[in-house]
Amino acid sequence: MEFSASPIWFIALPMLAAFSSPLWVRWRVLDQLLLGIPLGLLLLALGLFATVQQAPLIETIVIAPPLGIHLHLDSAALLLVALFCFAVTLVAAFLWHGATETHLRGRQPFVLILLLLAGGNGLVLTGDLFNLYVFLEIAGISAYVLTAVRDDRPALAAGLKYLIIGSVAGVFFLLAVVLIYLQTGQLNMAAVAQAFAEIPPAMQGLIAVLALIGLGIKSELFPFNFWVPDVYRGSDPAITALFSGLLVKAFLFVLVHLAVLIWIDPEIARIWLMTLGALTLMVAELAALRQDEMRRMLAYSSLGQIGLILLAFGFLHESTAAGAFFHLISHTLAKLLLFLVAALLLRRVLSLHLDALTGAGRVYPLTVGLFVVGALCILGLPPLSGFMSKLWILQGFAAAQTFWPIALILVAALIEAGYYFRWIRVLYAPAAASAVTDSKTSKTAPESWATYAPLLLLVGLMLLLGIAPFVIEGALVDAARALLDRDLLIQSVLGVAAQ
Amino acid sequence: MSQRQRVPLRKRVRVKTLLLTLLSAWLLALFLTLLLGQARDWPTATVGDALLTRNAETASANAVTSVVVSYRGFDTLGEVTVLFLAATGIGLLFSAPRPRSELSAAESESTPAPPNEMMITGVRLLFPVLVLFGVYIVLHGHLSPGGGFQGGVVIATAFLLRMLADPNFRLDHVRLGWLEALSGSGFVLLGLIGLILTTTATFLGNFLPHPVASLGQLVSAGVIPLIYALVGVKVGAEVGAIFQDMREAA
Repeated sequence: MEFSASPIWFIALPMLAAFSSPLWVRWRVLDQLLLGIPLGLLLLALGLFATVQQAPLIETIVIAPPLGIHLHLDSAALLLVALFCFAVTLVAAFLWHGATETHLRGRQPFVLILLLLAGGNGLVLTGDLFNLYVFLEIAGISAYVLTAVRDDRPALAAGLKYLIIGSVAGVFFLLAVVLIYLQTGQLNMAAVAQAFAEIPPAMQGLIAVLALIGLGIKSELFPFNFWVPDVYRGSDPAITALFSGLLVKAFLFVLVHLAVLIWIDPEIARIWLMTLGALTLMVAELAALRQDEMRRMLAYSSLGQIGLILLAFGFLHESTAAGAFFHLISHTLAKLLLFLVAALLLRRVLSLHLDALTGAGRVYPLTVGLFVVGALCILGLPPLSGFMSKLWILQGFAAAQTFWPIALILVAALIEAGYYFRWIRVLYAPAAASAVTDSKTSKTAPESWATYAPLLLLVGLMLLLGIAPFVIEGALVDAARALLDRDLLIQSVLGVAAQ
Repeated sequence: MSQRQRVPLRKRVRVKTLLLTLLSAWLLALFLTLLLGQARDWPTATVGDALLTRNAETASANAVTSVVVSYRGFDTLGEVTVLFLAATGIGLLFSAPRPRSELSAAESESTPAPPNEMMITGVRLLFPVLVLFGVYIVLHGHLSPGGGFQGGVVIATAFLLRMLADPNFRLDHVRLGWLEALSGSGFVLLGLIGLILTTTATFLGNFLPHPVASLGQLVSAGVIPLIYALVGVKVGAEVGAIFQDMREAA
């Protein structure tokens, strides 16, 4: 017998806990497990950083690649897995004390949140294309049901919309996988990467377009992201925090990973990815200017940041990719904070509309203060991590003598400042805060400190990463190197097979 | 001026629908041209062929089963999870209490007619046969076509027929939940045992003895029939729970 710190645990443990949920209901440990399992996995991930730095961990399942399925835990995947486990831990800690959100307690939300984590982890870990599709379905279906979990009219409408558009995306991706198998006879990503050049060029283009549409819908890129604000508006803000912090990041990573691995000509991939990223960034930021509902505004802001991350990844250069990983982490921290603040506000006021929140900053100083911190982190103001991550990306572009993305990012930051300061100004407006105070007295008692603990932890992490980015610099540079080094990946996977 | 002319052209012809149809048709034509013109001949050395030649290792007479449960068992675990998620979602959304007004309206409209005698007698005869057939398909998954998914659905269908024939027949949700939980966690645990034992040291590894000599017998192929039986129980319980939820919601 041996106990190995295998990457399989990141998928098998949440699945095992989700399957055996009736047992946990009977023992009344649902809340404890929802917090404990991601926390345990987070500790496991942190413990693995040193090992993975030496060489990627490759976990063969039943039969060695290229024949079988394997999990590929390199620095890039490990960074994302740790981030996902952290996000779920934090949301679980937040939900534990949320007495008002009864629909997010109990067996079904427990199952759905854990399987969302398993799906996200599987997406970044798997080394097999069809297995990737299976995890895309797992993450997708748990997200559809989580959207509709509140079971009122807007939530059901959002869930139905998400279900339809997500299934269409799944079909597009599946068709790309089928064509790849028909053309190369392979499903393992490394083997496909080797064989892809032999496919006729027109067919290569067809496969790339199909995969791009499928993953573009899933990772919320510009021409395909019309559905996102409705879904973010309809679902619960605590769940939306997971969508923006976990799900999109997983799909975005898959898109970039496949583009690097399979697309041989980096020039073409660079043009496509950077164009999509730049379009997503500008369109979403401009749309966010006009939003009068907090969740829709945050949704558009999230789309803009996704575009920025893709723009930096799409340059396919180590310096910007490290910055992109940093911004990915920083954006997850900030959006978790902002959406959880929205959830807190929604426990007390009836509407998150701009007019209804006038003067809320004077009634709930701590909650709105946290919103301001999150907004400043997205904007990229100095002591917070958002500043450092944007600076890294800008430095990367400047070092490569490419200046148009720099101009674009700065313009986008100006627009962001425009709408976030509009919100902050309204939140602290001296106008008669009658609507806010009325709904406060009718709703609930003040929250305990335990509700704020996860939010304060997020602020602490933003400050830490903003002041001392060198604590994770090594991990980020390793992750960028692992993501972009195609030959190393192929060799490490198929080298194992040769033994 | 006649009535017909006064209606503007863009209202008589639905331009948006037409454009969408044309666009879809053009894309389909493009897709088919690419697919038919550019596709290479079927590659001869696919992963599937390689797995077929190695099938004897698993000692499972049905090569499809050794791919589904062993070589790509991880995908099967994922598919079982997808079904589990679908059942959970349907249970969550269909069994939630509806507002009073909708409920009473629905009840007054459809008082179901009692099943007729043919139905009752037919189901009484068919039910044991169907269950037995389902169990057979599940247990012989490693020997003949079929297996956990197919057999599980056959068993669930038998219970659906009982529901149709007997309005008072109910599947107990709590008991179904326990069946699902036991079979699902059993699948993951069998996989983890394979990971922990040093003889296999891989997730879903076949840690039970599976000599090639016993190929084609009921007790053969090691852990494969066990996993397929668990899949059968899980699929049967989930599909049954979906039927039950939909009947309660209707």
